[in-house]
Amino acid sequence: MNNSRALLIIFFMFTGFILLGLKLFSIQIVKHDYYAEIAEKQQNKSQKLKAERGSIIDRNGELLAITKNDISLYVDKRMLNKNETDSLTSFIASVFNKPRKYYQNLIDKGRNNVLLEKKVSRERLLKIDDFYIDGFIVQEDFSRVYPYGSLSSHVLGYVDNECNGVYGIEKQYDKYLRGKDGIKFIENDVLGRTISVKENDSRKPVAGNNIILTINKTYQTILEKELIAGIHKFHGDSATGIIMNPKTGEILAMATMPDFDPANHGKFQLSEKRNRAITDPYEPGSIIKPIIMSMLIEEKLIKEDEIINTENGDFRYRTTHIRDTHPHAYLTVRGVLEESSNIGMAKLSDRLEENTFYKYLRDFGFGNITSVDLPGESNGFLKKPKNYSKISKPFMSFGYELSATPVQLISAFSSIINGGNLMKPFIVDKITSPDGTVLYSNKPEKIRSVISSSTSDKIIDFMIGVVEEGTATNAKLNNVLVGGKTGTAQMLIEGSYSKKEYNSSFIGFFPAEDPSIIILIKVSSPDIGRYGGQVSAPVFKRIAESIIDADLQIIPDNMKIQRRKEYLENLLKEDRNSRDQNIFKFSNIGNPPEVKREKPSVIKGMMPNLVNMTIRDAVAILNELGIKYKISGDGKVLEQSINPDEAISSDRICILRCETKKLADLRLN
Amino acid sequence: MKINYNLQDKFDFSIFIPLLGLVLLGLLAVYSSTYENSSASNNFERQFIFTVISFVIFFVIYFLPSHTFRITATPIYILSQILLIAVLIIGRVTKGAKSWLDVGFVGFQPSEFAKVGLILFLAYWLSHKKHDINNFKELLSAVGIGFIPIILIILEPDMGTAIVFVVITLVMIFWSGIDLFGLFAVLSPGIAVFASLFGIVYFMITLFLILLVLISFRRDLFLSTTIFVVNIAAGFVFEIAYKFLRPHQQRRIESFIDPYSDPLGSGYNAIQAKVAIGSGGLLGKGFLEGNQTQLRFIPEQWTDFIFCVIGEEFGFIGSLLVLILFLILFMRLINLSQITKDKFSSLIVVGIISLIATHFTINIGMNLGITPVIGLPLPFLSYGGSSLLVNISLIAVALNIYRNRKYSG
Repeated sequence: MNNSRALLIIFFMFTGFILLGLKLFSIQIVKHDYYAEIAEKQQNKSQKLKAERGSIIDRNGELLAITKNDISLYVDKRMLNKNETDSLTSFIASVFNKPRKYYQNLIDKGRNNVLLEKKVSRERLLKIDDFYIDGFIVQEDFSRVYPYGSLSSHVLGYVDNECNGVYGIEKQYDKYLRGKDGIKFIENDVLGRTISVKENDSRKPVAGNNIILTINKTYQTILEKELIAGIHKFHGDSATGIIMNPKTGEILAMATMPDFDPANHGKFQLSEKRNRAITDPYEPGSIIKPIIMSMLIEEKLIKEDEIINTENGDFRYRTTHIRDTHPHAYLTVRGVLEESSNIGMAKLSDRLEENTFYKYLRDFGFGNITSVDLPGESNGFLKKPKNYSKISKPFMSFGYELSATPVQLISAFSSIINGGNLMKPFIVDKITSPDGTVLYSNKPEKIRSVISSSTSDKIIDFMIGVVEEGTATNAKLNNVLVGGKTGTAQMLIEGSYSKKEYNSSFIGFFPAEDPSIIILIKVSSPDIGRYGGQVSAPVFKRIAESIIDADLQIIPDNMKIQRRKEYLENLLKEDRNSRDQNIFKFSNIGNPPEVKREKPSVIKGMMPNLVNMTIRDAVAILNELGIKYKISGDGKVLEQSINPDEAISSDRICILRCETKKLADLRLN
Repeated sequence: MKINYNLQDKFDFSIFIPLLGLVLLGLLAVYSSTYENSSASNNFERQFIFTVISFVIFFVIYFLPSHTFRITATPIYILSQILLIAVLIIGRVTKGAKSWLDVGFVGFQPSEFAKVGLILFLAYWLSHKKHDINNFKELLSAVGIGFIPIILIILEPDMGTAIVFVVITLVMIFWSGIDLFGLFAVLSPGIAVFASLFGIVYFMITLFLILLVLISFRRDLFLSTTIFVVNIAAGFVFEIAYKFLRPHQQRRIESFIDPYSDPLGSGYNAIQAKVAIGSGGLLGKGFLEGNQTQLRFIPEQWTDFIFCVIGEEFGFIGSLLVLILFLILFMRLINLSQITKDKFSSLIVVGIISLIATHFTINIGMNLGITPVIGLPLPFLSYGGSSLLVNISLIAVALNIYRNRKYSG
């Protein structure tokens, strides 16, 4: 009976089954990956475990930037037991001396995760050690600490709140410093409650590598101090200085004053944070003359004692006048450099072909970045011969119509005093892993040979003359032979040369017989004095003297000058004081507690007993003795890896173990 | 294996074995979805006890004399209507619907019992010799038999169950031999309501098409007009009926149209069910390994969303097994409907098929995101005593009919 109707029902039924089967196939087989991913996402939370950022260290092992393992406190409201809220808030309130209501409000207003305290020192946590409540989370939250405050801030740069490098070395070497963040996978249920931690998939964080700079902290301190003193003395707007090893291109110090505090970088303008030694090109003025002179010598276009008519200081050249600050009727070629005669240079430069002239300037690195390992370097400006006007070449020969950054100038200058080789300037010596293995080591890199070594010797000889009897007698040192060149250039302000604003530069090197240090000083718009010889040369002199006093190795034995013991000790003392202040000022430990510090007896070459000392005291002593160290933990020193009274060798590292929070006890979620 | 042909003649194993398979799969799924859930920790034990009780009753019904159903059809129908009225007055409200009646220590859903009443009584009515279904008045009374419980259930309100009753009524009327015009008269209001869901334009077009079909039948003008008016009325009645729906049910219909519009609200279950099934893949994640299930992403999964436990933990293979077991069951029941001794038995079997098939289609559809989430359990698998007992009893009725198919009287 009802056969056709039965068939109809069967037909519908099969159609339905086929449709359901197809849909099932589409969901479970075709779109499986899509749905599996959704399931995975909603069932698993991942928690980032921040890696400790590596340190930035100077060439002698002084820590310039370190990471402090602070903690932040959170409450996960979903896991918090309502009736435990009171005990939590009153406990936190007692630790941080804030009213209980403050925390109660935070928790009431917040959504799932509530931040109670951000980046507090681990020392405070000692009290929290035994405190455990469901939903109360203690999380590592690193802070970047610059123990010497603003020292070498432009080189170091700074990091953002998440400890990502934003500028300077912090940015350039971010991928080495940052380490590898770990990750913890947590399986959670529909309410977001933790069910289990997936240990297998989780990864522990790997600490970042350390960057060891070619910077010498002592030189840097001297440079910054003298630049500031120079600004004050001559009422300059700003001052920039670079100290370099001319043979290798290692940058030993680099600073622009005023500087900024990298720990509080937010309070400074971007322009103040810019490393002007590499970013800001300027018209160098007369300090380019030795470079032009070296071309003429190399091309054998001049003789040392050739007489040049310097027109009594006023020379009508084509459409314009060229004037000399120190007028002379006639000068020898050597005299042109010593007296810094623009007229002489303009006349001599006529002997150079425009293309040769340009080629040399290119070879010296003008118009091109030096590729120093810092971010934001500028090219400077170098005209091509086809764009030269009739007066371009003579004006360029005394430092106008071209611009260069301080780092370009110092590397070009290095090449004319080191035997003629343009070296690539560099600031990172090596990169080491947290356990000390050297991962990468920078070697001096010769870019090209520009002039012969005999030309180089000749030009050094000329420049000794500049300091001994020329425009830069203010840079003369006792006992040490110095070479150098002054430069004074009118500043280009809105397209025309200012009559009042000058860049006063001096570039000098010593010992002149075999230069191992070259220093460039540039002071912008000094109100008192104008000329490089008046303003920058004295700054150079004070720096050079301080360096010679501080660093015995810089001057060979036969030239060893009288050490000024007092000066050295004063320097060290100041250094120590400023560091002590900075540790508090530039980290967020809080105000320094008023504790009397015993002065421990320290004997050179022997390991002192540091146990029970604060880290600050211990570090000060270790620095004084020149002992390399590593610190684990925070608070007072519990243990030192080198026993007291053991002899110290330079390759040993003393590890200080300090009171530290037991990590295993911290329930991070 | 030896097959006892004599026994097979009395007891259709190809109905019973799929039934047993589905019940066992259901028990596994209920166990998996509740074993780590403190709020539903006793559900497996309870379901297990219900299963045992149901099978005892199964065999009692199986051995009942063949005329029992004809005798009890009318009283059961009347009793079930009384219970449906009673539940509206003294029922317990769960999830926005007054559908539970507490009897002693167990709760029970009169609408489940009413299914048995409707199937038996409608079969009885339609198979009676004096009732000619192609007589318009007789058709109306048959529809009326279905409509009494439907109205009562809409009042609870339980739209899902009401739909099941509509389908049972229509299919049984269809099976009783209604002609095309009659069928059209019964079905067209449904089409009109469906069209009105999509807006006034679609409703108008549908009405126009219905009018064309009515004219083409060339029937009595009065009859045709009446049917057309009923159609218009149905569209508007739906508007009113929609307002009768509880807010949560209205939202479910809306979210059916676009489940992702409110992923944390009413579309939540549909999405999570799909995610569970989809993430199961070909072979599934393994028994008790479905993290979507174990992490309780689908609320009360053991009832309406039991199918996605199977989909997640046993994969495509497991889901397909469920579909195939149902298919075997349906094919055997359709076969049975062809070989019964009388029209009454045949109509009962068709009623049972339409009941189970409607639940099956809508529930699986819900789980796969192709039908709205209207709260219909999956027969034999979902947790729930009343439903399990009624469904197993109905299969017992079918097997009783199978046993008695060769005896007349």
